[in-house]
This record gives sequence, structure tokens and C-alpha cells, in this order.
Amino acid sequence: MKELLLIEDDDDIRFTLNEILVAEGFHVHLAENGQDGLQCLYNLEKPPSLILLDLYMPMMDGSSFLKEVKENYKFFSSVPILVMTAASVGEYPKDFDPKMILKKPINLDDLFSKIESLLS
Amino acid sequence: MNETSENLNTNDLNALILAPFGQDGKLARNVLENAGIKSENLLSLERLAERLKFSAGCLLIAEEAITENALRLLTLRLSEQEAWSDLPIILLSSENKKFEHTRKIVEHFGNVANITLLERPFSVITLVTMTKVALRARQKQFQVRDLLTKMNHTLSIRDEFLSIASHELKTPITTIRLQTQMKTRLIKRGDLSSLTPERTTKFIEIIDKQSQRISRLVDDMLDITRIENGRLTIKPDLFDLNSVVAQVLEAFQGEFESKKITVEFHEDGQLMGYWDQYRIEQVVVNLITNAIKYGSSRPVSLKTFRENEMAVLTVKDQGLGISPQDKERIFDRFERAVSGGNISGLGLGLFISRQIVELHDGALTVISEPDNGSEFKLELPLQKEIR
Repeated sequence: MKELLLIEDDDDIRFTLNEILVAEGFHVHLAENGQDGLQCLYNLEKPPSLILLDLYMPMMDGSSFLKEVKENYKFFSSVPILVMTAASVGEYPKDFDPKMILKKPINLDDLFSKIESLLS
Repeated sequence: MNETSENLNTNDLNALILAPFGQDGKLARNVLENAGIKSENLLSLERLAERLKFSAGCLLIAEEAITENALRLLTLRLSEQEAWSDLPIILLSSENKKFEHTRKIVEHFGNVANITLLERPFSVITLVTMTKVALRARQKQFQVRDLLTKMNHTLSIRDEFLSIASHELKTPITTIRLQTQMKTRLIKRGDLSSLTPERTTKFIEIIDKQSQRISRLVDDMLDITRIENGRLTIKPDLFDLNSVVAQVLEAFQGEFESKKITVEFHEDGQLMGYWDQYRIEQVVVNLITNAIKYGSSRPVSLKTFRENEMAVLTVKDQGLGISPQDKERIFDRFERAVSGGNISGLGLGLFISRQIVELHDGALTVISEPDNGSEFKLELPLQKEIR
């Protein structure tokens, strides 16, 4: 079973995405912010197949999480990270790969086709 | 010209004089000073060009000072003016009637500058009046500049607000869209286990909760418009503050439980007053929402009591706290103490709340230290007709 880490601060989005991903056969680890996400990575025995990451979050936001993984969690740096954001195209951080961005409101077909191409 | 970088008092605008030959410069300066007009006598074209980098009221320039070089330099400086700026120039023509030269200068500047010809000899009153007209027009230009700066600031705040508002609106819409897409997917797949009464009830609850979130956001946005137009009004009724607090707490019971936050409420006797029940409820909801949002899941305590003829409600959390410099800012529009996308929301709650409370002749304040929680204090006048 493929393992995913979902980092999202909004309770309702987290709850719903978890339900959807579980129904699709994924094992989902949940985190409420970047810090929580790092703690979760630290506790996992092996890296997840994919991380779904929200950008705007309390405590540690998505950008800081990305930076932290790149600099201090090199063991996980090969894990693909799909960034979920309600920001419009012009507002994305410059160094973001558009292929790794999932626009909110999320289109499920888009989500699954991105997950599929990243995991294949 | 670099006029925007200065914080200029328009009464301080100087008339710059360039009349380097003979006594004209000195005379003109004396005349203007006697008429109460501040002026500067610049002795060379280079000094004038340098001086024009800063705010100037108007320029009095003797025709004989305008050489080919001067024409080029002045044209360059004048073409650097910002859109709102059109420095008035008074050209003091030569007395020797070399009209061809004068005509060339006026024609040349006609395209880039606001130039008026003053033929010598002229009377003192003509020079003074013309200079006053020029300075007055210039003052208006600076007023336009200030208005433009203010408008741009307002526009950039509004842009930021729109960006936050659209982000905030997209969050509940994301949940709604995910829920409906998931149901469609399961139905298409023939997975009817998703249509059990329990799951359908849960689905409806989620959709309903998200619609309420959207509607609260829209209400806040409408309240802001009402406040800006001075159309936020209150409809007073006699009621007990405790009853509103108790009702709001009951409505929040589920949220406190799901977030495992304990909440205490101590009331000390009836607190009756003429207040707008709907609006006061809105303030109490805002204070409790903030205590949940910023309270780091630690206990929240509410107290009501009577103090100096006022009904008081305090809402105390044990969360992030607020730094001294942020204590007043959090009551401003679109502000929250924690920035950088750390906490969601429009940042309008406390601003709207304070406006509501002030309309009741009450006060909304906060006592807080970083990492030591916050205590918000709502004070409303007891049983007294309000304006």
C-alpha cells in the first residue's frame, strides 16, 4: 500500500482529502502544519511515496517546510511534493515547478493524474 | 525631479530665481521677500539644475541666462517630472527686444514646460502677482501628488485584501468541491456504500458548515463596506449580556470538544443593557473564535462582571499572545498580529468588533504578552439609552 503524507491546516479539507485518498487505497499520514509534518517524517520508518503540502499554514508554512526538507531532511529530499494552493498563477513562489502545483479548489481528476504520474 | 521623496509642506514652496547678470536676481528676491514669498537666488545654471532635483515652487528665469547649454539641461530636468508635476516657469524677457530669441525659448519650452512670459520692464505688482499665481498652481499640484500617494496606498491595501479574501473563499469551496467530486466518483463506480444515511448526513453537515463559512466571510466584507460608508447602525434592545455569552458558548460547544479545548464561564449577576443583540453576539463570536484560533488548544476562560457602571466580559486564552507593538494594530483593518499566512482569516474581526462596541459607547481592549496568552475586555454601558 502506497503511503502518503498530507499536510494541511484546514480541518475540513484535511478530513475530506483523507477520506478520498483512503477510498483510493492509500495509507495516509496526517499533519496540521509544516512542523507537524516534519515530526511525522521523522517518525516514519521509510519515506512516504508522496507528500501533499498546503502553502498557507500556521506555525510553519509550506514554503518553510520545503526549505527545511531540502536543507535538513536530505533523506526525504527525493520524495515528490505536490503543493496545494489557492494562490493564483502570478502569486506562486518563483522557484516552484508548475507541474508540482495543485490548484485549489482541487480538481480530483487533476489530483489523481498528478499522483499517478509521480508514482509511476 | 525627485519631489515624491520629500514630505513637503506646500506653504514652504520657494520661488527659484536664475538671473545671474547684473542686479536683477537680487532685486527680484527683495521684491518677493517683501511680498512674503520665500525665494532663493541661484547664481549659476548648474546650481539651479541641482536644486531642481528637490521640490521647487516656481522658477523665475532671466532670458539672458538661457544659453544653448542651459536650454538642454533645463529641458532634461523638466522632462524628468512625474505625471502630476508641471513646474511653472516665468521667463523674464530681455529689454533689448531681441524677440526672435525669446520666441525660440518660449516655443521650445512650450512642449515640455508651463511657461509664462513677463516682459521687462515690469512693475513690482505684476511680478508678485504672477509669482503668487504660479505658487498657488504649484501647491495644487503637490496636493494632487499627496492624493495620488494616498490613493495608491489604499489601492494596494485593497488589492491585498482581495487576494486574502479570494484565498479565504477558496478554502471552503475546496472542501465543497472535493466532497461533491468524491460522491460523483463513488456513484459512477457503483460504490453505493457512500449513500448510507450516516455518510449522507455527514456529507450534508460538511457542505452546510462550509456554506456558513462562506456566508460569514461575505458578511464581514459587507460590514467593512458599511463601516467605510458610515452605514453600520445598531438596533438596541434590553437584554442580559450573560445570556448572549451562554448562547454563543453553546453554539461553540462542538468545536471546543473536537479541538479538546476546555472552557470556563464565570458570571456574576445579571448585566442588563440596551445593546444590539445581533451585533454584540457577533463581537462575542469573534472573541471566542480568536481564543480558539490563537489559544494553542489551551483552556479558555470567560468572565462577566460589573465595573464602573459598565457590563464587562473578559475572554482569556493561554496561547501565542500579542507583542506590545501589535496591541493596537490588531484592531486595524486587514491586520492581524501574526502575519505571513500563518493564521487564516480576513483580519477583519477585531476591527469590525471594535467599531460595533464603539457605536455602543463601549470599549474593546486587550491585555497580553507574547507567549503568555491574551485577555480581551469588552465593556458596554449598563441599562442606559444609547445615541
